[in-house]
Amino acid sequence: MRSEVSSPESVPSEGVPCDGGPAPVASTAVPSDIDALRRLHPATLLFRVIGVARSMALPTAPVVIVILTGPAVAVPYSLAVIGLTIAPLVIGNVARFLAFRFRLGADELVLHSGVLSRQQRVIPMARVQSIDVRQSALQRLFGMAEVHIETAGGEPADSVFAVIRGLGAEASLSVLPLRDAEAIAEALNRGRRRAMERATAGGDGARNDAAAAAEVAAATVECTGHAAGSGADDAPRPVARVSPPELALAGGTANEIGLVAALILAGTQFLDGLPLPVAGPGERLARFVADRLQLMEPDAAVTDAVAQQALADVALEVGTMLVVAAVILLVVVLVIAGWVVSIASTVVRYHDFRLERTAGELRKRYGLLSRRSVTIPLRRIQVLRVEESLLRRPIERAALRVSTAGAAPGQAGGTQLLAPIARRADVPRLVAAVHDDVDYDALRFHPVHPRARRRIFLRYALVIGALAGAAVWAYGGAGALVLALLPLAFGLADRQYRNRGYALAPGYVAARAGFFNHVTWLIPDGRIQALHLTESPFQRRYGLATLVIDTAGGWGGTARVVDLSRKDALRLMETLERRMDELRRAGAREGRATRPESVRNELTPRR
Amino acid sequence: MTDKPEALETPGTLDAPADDDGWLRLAPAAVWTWRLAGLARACVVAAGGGFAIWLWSRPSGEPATDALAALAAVKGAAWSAALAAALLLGLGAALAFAVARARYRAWGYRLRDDALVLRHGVLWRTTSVVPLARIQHVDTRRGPLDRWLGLARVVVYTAGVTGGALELPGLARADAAALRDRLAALTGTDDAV
Repeated sequence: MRSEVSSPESVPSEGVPCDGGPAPVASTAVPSDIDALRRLHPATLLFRVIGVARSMALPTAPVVIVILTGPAVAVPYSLAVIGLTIAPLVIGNVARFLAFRFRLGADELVLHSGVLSRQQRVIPMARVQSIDVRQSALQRLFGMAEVHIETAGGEPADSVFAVIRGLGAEASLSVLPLRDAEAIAEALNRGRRRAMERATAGGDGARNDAAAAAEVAAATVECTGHAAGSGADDAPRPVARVSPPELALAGGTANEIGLVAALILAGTQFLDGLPLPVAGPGERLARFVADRLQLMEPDAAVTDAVAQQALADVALEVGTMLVVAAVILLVVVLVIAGWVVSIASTVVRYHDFRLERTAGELRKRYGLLSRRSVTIPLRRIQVLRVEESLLRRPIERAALRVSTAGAAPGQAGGTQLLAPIARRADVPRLVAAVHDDVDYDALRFHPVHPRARRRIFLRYALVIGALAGAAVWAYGGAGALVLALLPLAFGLADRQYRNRGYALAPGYVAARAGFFNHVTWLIPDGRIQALHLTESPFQRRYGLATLVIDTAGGWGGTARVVDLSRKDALRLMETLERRMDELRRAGAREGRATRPESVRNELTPRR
Repeated sequence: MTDKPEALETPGTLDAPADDDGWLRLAPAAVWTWRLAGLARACVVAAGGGFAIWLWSRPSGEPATDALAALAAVKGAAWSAALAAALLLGLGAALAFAVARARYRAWGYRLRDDALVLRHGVLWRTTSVVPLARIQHVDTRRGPLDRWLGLARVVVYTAGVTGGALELPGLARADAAALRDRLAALTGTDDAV
């Protein structure tokens, strides 16, 4: 049940296949096809047609029903309708397939697309942020895979926000044979590393270009995804591996359960109209009983009426209780179902989660039905977050996320999981895999100002006071019992206060906050973009301030330390400024004189 | 330890309207951007309020006994509406002017060797420090109002998300251009991300 690390001996060596197929000798794709235009594999058409069928299934369903059940004379017309709607889509897909070509150059990936208006997109290797090789279940059946290339600005699709915002990969090659896909991914990786080295080295550009070309031409790429003979530092070092029981635990304690439960409870709002549906059966019961009673002495009309009323009341109560019981049972069943679904989906989605570290990047692989392989260049990581949610704290588990940079200034980057779940004791090791020189457990967090506790408590007290007022108004004096929540509120405020803080480590700053979710941000000094000190009118009254540490990471990449004393906030700000300045001076001394061309190009993306 | 540590107090290196404690101020004409915005809002509120008063004080549905009485009733409503609108406008204008003045006084900036520091906000006071090494690029922008007042805004872009684009409104044109050029010259030396 441990999130274990496989021992070094079991590191996949050269020649071991990606997913258990026969060991390949060499890839036929990249080395010989450098600078040649290639098309996607013809199987693409099959997948596109399936996609068309899937998307058209719902709109054409009525027509299909007509064909199956309608008069015979309508059949040719219905077929014509279906043909006319589907044919253009199929033709379009075929045309687009034929028109799409790509070329993997030494320094860039070039995509040619467009049937009527031709487009050419050049993606410099230096701009590539992560390369994702994916296989859906169907693709795996055919031995195909997709390559998704993200330059900063796209989010990996395991972020809910990517789905909502409709962001995706900068470019995708779908579908290619698995071997070709892995070879291309590896070539892009190497190209990207070369570009980064060239950028930091500066003057050695010419030499590197020649060396790079030679390397690419001579290399044979194997299915494990790294070139033979490209150096020992390329061997991936395993960092973490999450077992199915741990994943089940992750699914069982995911915050999304709360969302599901809330949705279900919101859906059961018919509880508000409880008297109405219950009045039905209750009334019927009462009337039935009254009927029976009326068959007795006809002159006992008065007692009948009284008896009728009494019986009606009883029937109403019984009916109400039955309905309430049924509703509660339903809600419980739905919540349990949601919980089970959450567990199952987590286990399937992150099946066999492996995290590896190579020289300059992290690689994570996961997935049962669709197997994903995502690389995260360490250089792009802006913020590392350790999240201990309410449900996971008692079982000593945490999740880790990283925020990566965006491409153009101000453009949001992405936040993705580094590990869906990990033992609290393993967190320092995982953090060290990203930042070698951080000792997570040695971080000493300075608390925020004690007056913060008062502020938080006041907020809760106001809410409780309002609730108490409403309760008194509705139920009379007994409503004042709501005030008994005040000590509880004070305890909660205290807990929240204790959980806030900041810590300074050599080269890093850490911040901690959150109530249900305890979040710890770890930010290298060099990744701080700007510092903001804000004081709301209420904070000014107490001499407090909030420090916001802005980074280039996406949503969740900004750290806030709320309610520091103003002095502490200013002092922290000053310390961080000094550190950033020292970094800058050190960088200038080492001769990193000019801003790398690749970064400059990022400001005006070429399309 | 003093309330404002020394590091934030180093005088700026740019020529601009002088001021107290070392913060450079915006151009004096900048206060008019807020005044005009406030006045516009006051006009809208006054118009709305006047209309509401007019509706409220109109005569009820009973038909007037004669045309003169009817006219008198309507005239009364119109007058009270106009009076209300004028009052609201006056109050709004006074408020707008006071707020604009407070905001102008709250705005300050300084350019240190290693960072640009901005200070603004009346209720929510914010101090932002942007290291020069983190500036991706600098824009100057002039809206129609800015052009009329002879002002410009300087927008400083970082790769940050929360404060990705920090704006210095209401600088004199020459000052804005000078600041932009100085920042551009100073920020050519580092990898920002």
